[in-house]
Amino acid sequence: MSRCARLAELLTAEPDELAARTGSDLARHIRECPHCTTAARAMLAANDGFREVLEFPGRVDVDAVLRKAHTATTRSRPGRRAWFTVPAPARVVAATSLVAAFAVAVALKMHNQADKPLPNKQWTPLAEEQPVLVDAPGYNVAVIPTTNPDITIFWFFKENDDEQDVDLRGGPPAVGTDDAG
Amino acid sequence: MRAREGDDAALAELAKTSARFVRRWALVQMGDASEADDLTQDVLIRMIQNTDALPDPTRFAPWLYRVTRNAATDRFRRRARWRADADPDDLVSASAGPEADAAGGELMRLLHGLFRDLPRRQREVFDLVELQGIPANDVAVLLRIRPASVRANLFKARRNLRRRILSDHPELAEERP
Ligand SMILES: [Zn+2]
Repeated sequence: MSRCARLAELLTAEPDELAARTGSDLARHIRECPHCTTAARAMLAANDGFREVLEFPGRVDVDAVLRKAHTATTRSRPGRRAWFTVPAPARVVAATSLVAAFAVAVALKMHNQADKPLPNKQWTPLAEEQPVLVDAPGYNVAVIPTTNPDITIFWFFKENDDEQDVDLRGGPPAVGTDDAG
Repeated sequence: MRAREGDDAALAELAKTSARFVRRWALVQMGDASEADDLTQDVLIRMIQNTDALPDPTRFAPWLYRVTRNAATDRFRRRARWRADADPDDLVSASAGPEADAAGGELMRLLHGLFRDLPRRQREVFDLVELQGIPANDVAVLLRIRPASVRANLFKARRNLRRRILSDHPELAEERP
């Protein structure tokens, strides 16, 4: 496997090139060179394996976490309501899930810090029609269908909510630009 | 009371959805399965107890990522404080965890070990860019580092992992048709 002079190029190549899916010179070479074909295949197989390792759900009992957290939450936050829900008629519930909203947020929205939503603008990530009207002056509203057909999340937030960023009052330390590791 | 129950149900949905993502991020940060589980629980509890602090949905995922990352940093710092007194043998006992017991057994353990051996920054850049396909510029904003730094870490991570794969585990080529 190590007998090709171009093998070093594979070490930092893009996955698409390793898969010989591009029209680049290296991709062409990988298609034609048995040594590099084998090496690229090993690298791509490793990526599949890494994904599998990382996607393993772990052993976190979310119900137990909720029970544990709920007591403290009820005790310490009787006031402001950041969340509430209404039972949603089946027709309101979009086929997509909160997971999809999450994935979209992760993939597309994480970078767009400058893209501030307009005041009182309804952010609708999933459902195209919104038959439920909610009056919440001064707040933006996100309507998020979930995998549970009985639950739709109505998320009220103010313009600069994200200014609080990671200030969790006794939670994790404030955001830094870099750190250990 | 009815509304309160609605709150709880919605929060439970959010926590369950978030758990999947947080757990992955936690594993990337900590490199160790059981530590990732602990960290995930911590982050979820903090999230649930601070619903007032949640940012709007368009910023929720990156916010939660940073909460997870900061919680990991906190753990590393605490660990550094007691590390001086610890038995060195205890420090290399990171568990491959249930991931390794899942399908693929030995192979998964091996890959987990390769991944864990990367520096933390390389692990997270490799996961976000290489494995999840998020553009390097977006990752730079998320991690609050320069795009060039993202690319440099990606470059190093690829080279580190692929070198070891080729030299130590060429049999991986047989795993993929
Ligand atoms: Zn070759």
